[in-house]
Amino acid sequence: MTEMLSPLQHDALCEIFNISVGQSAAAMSGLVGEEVSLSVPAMRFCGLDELNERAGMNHWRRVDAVTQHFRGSFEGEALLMFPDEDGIELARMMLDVLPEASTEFDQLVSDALGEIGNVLLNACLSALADLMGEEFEYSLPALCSGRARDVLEQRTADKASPVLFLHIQFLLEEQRIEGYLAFLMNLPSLDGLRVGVDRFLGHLGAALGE
Amino acid sequence: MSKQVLIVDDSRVSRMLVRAFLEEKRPNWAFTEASTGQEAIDLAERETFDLVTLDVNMPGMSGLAAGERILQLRPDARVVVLTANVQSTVRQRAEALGMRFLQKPITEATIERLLDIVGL
Repeated sequence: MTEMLSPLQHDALCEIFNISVGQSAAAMSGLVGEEVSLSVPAMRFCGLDELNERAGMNHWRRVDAVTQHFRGSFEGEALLMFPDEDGIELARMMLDVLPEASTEFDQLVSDALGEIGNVLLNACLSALADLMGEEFEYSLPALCSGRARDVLEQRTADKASPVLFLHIQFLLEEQRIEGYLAFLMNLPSLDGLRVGVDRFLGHLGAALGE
Repeated sequence: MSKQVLIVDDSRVSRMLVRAFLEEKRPNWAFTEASTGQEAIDLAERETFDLVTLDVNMPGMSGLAAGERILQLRPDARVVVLTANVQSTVRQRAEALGMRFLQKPITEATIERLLDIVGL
């Protein structure tokens, strides 16, 4: 990572991500009426196989992921991933307020998961855009299910090249539901990302009177 | 007094949630749903609505473009953008077009806030 971003840029990017995911956590907390705890954000620059192993995803039997492509001066994939049955449990919590949904849960679960992804990913991306002085265009959310490695591969344009993977774990303590919010970016996007991080640092410097 | 409400969102679950929370607060209101911006405009050409809730990111036409057209057709309607896309630029565009702006998720508190800001 050191050759890609300076230590200050690395630190700033983690902080930007942390603040942005905080918006997603607030949105999720509103959705389920429960406190959501967040891990420390982690950043990796590696190939997909290494990522699958080092991020612990190879322990998941399957994953439900909502993905959205975002594009501004840099672009990538934003992913919300739920291991095993956690996504379905979360959808059930969301649909619990709709009594009529109980009879057609199977028809509504994909829509509910897509909407959960839409709310959480957009909250995060909107905060990221504002912090970096960007404006992103988004694709519509898409739902992918399967092995984590396969899902990640589907969402990566250049499978042979390393990717920047920025991720954070969130946990609904009471329900024992966990999820991961992640960004996947290829090399060509890193120049634009660095400019955005520097813009954030510039604003920070101005605010501190430097 | 009964009001005509148009709920526009490509997510069926979102439409169901908006409707369920509004129905609970305003049981006499009448609800119509649309899943695209174009469908909403077609409905607004034929019918009058007092309140329109609009998602932004939908297949085809965006909610902002649909809301702008609906306000041209029905200038007295209250149009509320109810979206997860809360970038400042999107909020500013919605407000400049005469729409109110609320952030998803759709919860009882969000719908209470919606009723507050439209004064219905």
